[in-house]
Amino acid sequence: MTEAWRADEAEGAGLDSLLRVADHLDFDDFFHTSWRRLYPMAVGIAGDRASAEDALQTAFAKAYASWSRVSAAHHPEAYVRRMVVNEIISSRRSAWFRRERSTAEPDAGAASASPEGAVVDRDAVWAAVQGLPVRQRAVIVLRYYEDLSEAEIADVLGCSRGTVKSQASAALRNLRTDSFSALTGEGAPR
Amino acid sequence: MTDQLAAVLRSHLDVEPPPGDLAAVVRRGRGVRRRRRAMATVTVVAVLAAIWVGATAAIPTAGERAADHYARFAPMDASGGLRAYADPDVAVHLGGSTYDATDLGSLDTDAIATPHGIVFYDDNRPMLLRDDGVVEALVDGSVDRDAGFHPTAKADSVSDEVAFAVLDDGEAVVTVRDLDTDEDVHSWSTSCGRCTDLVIDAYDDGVLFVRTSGTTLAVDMLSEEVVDLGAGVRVADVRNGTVLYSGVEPTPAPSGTRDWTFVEGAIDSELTFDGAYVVGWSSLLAPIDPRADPVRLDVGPTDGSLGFWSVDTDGSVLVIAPDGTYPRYTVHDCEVPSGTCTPLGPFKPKGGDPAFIGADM
Repeated sequence: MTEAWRADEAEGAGLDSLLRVADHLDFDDFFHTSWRRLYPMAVGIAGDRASAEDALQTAFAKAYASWSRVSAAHHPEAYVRRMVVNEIISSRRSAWFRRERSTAEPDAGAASASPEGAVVDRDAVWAAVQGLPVRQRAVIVLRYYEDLSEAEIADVLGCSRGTVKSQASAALRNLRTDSFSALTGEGAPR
Repeated sequence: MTDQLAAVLRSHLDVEPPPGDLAAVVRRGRGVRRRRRAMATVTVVAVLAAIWVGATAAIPTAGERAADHYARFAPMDASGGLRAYADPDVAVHLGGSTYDATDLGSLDTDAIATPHGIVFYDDNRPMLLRDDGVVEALVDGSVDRDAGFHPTAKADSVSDEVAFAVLDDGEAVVTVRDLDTDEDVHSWSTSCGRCTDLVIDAYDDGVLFVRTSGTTLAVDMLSEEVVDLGAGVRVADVRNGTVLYSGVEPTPAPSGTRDWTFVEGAIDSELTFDGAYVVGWSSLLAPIDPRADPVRLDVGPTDGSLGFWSVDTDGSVLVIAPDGTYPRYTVHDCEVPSGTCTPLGPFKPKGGDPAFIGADM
């Protein structure tokens, strides 16, 4: 912020206005940092970039609206991560999403530089991950991409650790059934 | 094997994220706040309202009363731009329809044409003549009245946002309304007494350029930060980061958050929506970039002889060019940068020179 922009005071801005600016700046920093960190996770759970960005926008807008509460949390980014995951899960419940979901292949470019066979295998597994029910997919992404513990995943999803265990087990079983052999050629993960 | 699953996830997800749209997030966040406050208020007010409803249900609000002064007008077609011009005190032409000016006396230079209709002031209250012909109040509550308060209204060229102002207890309150969603996206107020010197000179991409009694300010409506552009500057138009000004070059030059280009020009000239050309009293549009060629519109004079020009709501240029014996004209709609023009029809004003709604030209 330049000194010139601070000329707000010249128009009689009061303490409330200054505090709003301070809040705004805090949120700016938080937004730019956290957006980058949460984006890949959101794409992994949502399955496509457009849906991920929608969920992120909505979650951050709600965070802005409740910034005093969010910023006071022990770990604001974890707070917003939970909001993002919940946005994605709740959007999957709506009839609109079932009708309108993008079918574009996410991140095709990220795999294109790999040898052809490996790309096919990885894409098959990626497709199997995307075919999981959304809560199972969330558990997989949070566990194997975000590297969260079962307790942390339970906190994000608002469920018990036992539920996380059973969801993870079911997810791996589904992956084994669907396509994991395409990647390993020797069976499913245990 | 779970390591391999992690590798698959990394190979698909370790990509450079696109930048987040902070402005959109803040805008939506403010909407969420407003709705929460409204809901909280509604809960309390609903109880009180139940008591009053029997007595007051039939009483219209101040805004409704203001709108009730207007009959429903014929719809207008804004698909090719609103094409808003007038035969002063005789007829107003909007979107291909013609209206009796006596019913629309408030459509003067304080008004502004937008893709959604005309924003104008009725006794200091901002109103919208929608493209479906209905007039509605943009501010429903009470507003202070002062015959000397003429803040004008200005529309953004790349969004549905329009800036207007009301007087409220010694403060001028500038509101930016998204006419598509009907939501207020920004608000800014300044203490200025009667505020008769306050004028909204331009609104571009979230920045308000407002003239006050002593100076001209650029107000970033999102952050509410203010730049004092100086007392001697008059802003004629702002589009796409190009600031067309008259008078003293703005000092201090804003820096950091905006990459503005300052161009000196006549106070009654306008910019094309891309900020690349100046529309003045000529069919030769001067380029901002000195290395670029001017745009020559297919119709209208370029030698300073009689003609009238204004930028339409879709970014094209309206030209009212002489066509035979004075005061016979033809109205044209010209594309930029091709300069190709389409005649809209003959025009023979009886009330004086042709006028564009919301343009000083």
